[in-house]
Amino acid sequence: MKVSRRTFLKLSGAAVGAAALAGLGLDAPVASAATPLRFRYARETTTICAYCGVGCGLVVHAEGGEVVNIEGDPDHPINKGALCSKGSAMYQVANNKLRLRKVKYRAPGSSRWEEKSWDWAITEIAARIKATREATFVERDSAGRQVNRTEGIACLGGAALDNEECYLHSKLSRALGVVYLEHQARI
Amino acid sequence: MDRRYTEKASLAELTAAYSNTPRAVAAPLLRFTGELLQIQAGWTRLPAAAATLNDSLSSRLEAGEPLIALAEIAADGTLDLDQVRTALASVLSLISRWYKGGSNGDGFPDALTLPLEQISSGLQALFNRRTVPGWVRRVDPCLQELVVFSLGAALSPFVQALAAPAAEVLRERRYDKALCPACGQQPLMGMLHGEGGVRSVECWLCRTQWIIPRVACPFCCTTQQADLRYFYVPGREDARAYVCGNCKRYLKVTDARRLGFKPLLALEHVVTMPLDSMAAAEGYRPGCAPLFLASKF
Repeated sequence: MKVSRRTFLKLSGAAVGAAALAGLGLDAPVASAATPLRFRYARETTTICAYCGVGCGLVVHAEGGEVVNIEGDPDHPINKGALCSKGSAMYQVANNKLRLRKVKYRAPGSSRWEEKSWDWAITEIAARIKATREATFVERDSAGRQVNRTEGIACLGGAALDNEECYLHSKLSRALGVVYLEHQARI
Repeated sequence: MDRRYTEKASLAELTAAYSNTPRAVAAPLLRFTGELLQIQAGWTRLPAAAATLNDSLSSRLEAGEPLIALAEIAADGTLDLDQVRTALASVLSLISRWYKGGSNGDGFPDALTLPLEQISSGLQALFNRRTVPGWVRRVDPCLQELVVFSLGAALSPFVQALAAPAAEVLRERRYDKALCPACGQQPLMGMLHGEGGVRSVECWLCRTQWIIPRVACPFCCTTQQADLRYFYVPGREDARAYVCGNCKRYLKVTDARRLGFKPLLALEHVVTMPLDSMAAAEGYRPGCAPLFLASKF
């Protein structure tokens, strides 16, 4: 094959470093191949899986703020890139047509879901906690000791909660007198 | 060591295979690189080139020092300069054949007649002061860059052989620094591999591979994720270029998990060259500045 000096410089530069090619011009086959191609930028961000208490590391790929892929973080000391079946499907948490985005309420005994507002839901939850607490509150146990607890409410924290959220969750529960306080991380 | 690096038949087959894939964008580049790799593979098998490392691997790594002091081995007898000279002649022969289309290599120096002192001083000059050796300056200016490149190409298999005892260890080891732990040069190309998708890079000179953090710039070592992005061509997700907004450099990476075979990164570098063009257009420069680019022409 006979090549011009200019082309050969490109060839030789290519054998060692791309910088050579950039420094010598890019109108050879490489540039012609690159010209019609369009490319996309994406960003990798590390985070923690929200599913369980193991706390596996994730690498989230996003394009324009939209999640396009999630995989295990190979540098994370816990999972070293591996993920369980739920973690592997984490992408569907961010991109899922079935994901609920509004409050749905089904009244006791009803077979129908109703759409409610967040204000309604929060107010209703507070009212029912108050009613349940008052109905089940135990001020003294059978031996007459003061215990100030409610046995009608249980709390289960999720692994997605951070330290501060867990602290608030714990404080609220203790203030209510909840004794059945547990965290999903103990599974 | 990957057997494909050392067996000529496999290397030729692999080169041919790359040429026949849709990913091949520069068949001449592939053929040239394939021929060069075959020449280099022949030298890595020489028993005389297989030296051992005197210092312990761990102590040098912990100190952040490369295992091989390139500027020293050219003078302290570690390298068989006669063999390097013969390898240089082989590389120049290949280059002159391609350059002249099969005619003689007028203008290129006759490497076999070069005194060993010039080979030694040339390598020392390149690695110590990063300047063009004096005897290269006397070559036709149009060919000087090629001669310096040939020096690097001729030296590569010998440094590869020197690094071989450590390469097996380093291949599985994470090393956060931007320079090759074996010889101190820069990584040319990377790959994502294994079930976990670890990111490894390969040194342009000794081809040692080591694991680097997945989300960090391999050159300025920033871990600010806001500065780190990559781009790819839709439909060709098996290759991407990681770019750093902090140092404006980039690293090409091939995703071996998508390829379905263990890639030869020297050839992956060639077939992914459209990414280099795109990166340059975006204002990024390659993180790897090989030997001959450090010289001033």
